[in-house]
Amino acid sequence: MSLLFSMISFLTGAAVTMQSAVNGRLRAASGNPVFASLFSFLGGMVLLVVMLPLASALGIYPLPSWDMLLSTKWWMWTGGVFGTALVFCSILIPPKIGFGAYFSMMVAGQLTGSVLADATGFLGSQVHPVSPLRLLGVILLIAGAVLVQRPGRSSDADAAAAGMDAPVSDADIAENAKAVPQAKGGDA
Amino acid sequence: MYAIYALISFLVGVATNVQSGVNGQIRLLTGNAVFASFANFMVGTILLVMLLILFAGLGIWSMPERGLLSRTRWWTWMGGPLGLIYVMALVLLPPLIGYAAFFSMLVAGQLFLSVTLDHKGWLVERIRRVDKVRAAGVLLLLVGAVLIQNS
Repeated sequence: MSLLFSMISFLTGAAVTMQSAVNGRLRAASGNPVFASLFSFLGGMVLLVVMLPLASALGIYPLPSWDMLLSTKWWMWTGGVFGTALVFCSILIPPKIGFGAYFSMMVAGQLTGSVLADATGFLGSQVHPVSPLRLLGVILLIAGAVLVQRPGRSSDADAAAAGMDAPVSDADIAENAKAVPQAKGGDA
Repeated sequence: MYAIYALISFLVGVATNVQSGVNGQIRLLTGNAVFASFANFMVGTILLVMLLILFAGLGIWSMPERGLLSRTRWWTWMGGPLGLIYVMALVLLPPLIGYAAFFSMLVAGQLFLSVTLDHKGWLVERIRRVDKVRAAGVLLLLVGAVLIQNS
């Protein structure tokens, strides 16, 4: 059973990368990364609007009361702001440096941040001091991310092969050619 | 320029900790994990509607042309459900196999697919082949992840 859950965790990681790739296609087609981010959020929200009453009806998660909502502080609602930054950067940055480089740096930042959060007891999490092994882990993460980087290693021949290998139609590539220069101005 | 993009990617990763931390506070107060996810997506949606209008008004990113739906494949629009898989897995899986195992496997899946997309040239503009250095980098990242999660 544990093996099955591990497999699902692995596939969830693949889904995170896939989300970035799929949103990137929507950006290429629409020429607008904000639009692509919006639809990524809208899709999730529509599903959650269905799940919320469903989970409540099944008695898994009862809907929160007004008192509960009023007891929240404003900053507790900022998760979506960070989520927006994440989805937006996952659209803009991989075309510049590649998926491998982007996700290596992202993962290194994520786990380094989690070590810091544990060390400081961020938002009431249990304090978990930085042990020598954890420090070694952070060093390996950053070293690994740097090794995956190494810019400018692809050749034009490879790029041409990409057009042929990729499960992307010629129409898509034409869209891309149109859409990308449009977006250039905003990236600067 | 490359270094700046790499640095931003790192900071985005750091920010995901704040995101999961503040979402966790909503979950704690309401006792409802689905609601906490909903709050996260709702705030993001509202923010992005405002940004969409703002950037279109500034002429930076214009509104997509009509007929976009017919020019795109259905899976182009599936980013939201894919993102939700992650949000729900984050709630459901760690209690079943522990955070360490969950995050180690998650990172492995993330890196495996991203390096594969680069290598095969799927959904990317440029191929970036896996060579010994890149494979060593991924291996170090995985060892680092396992070390942090288990110590």
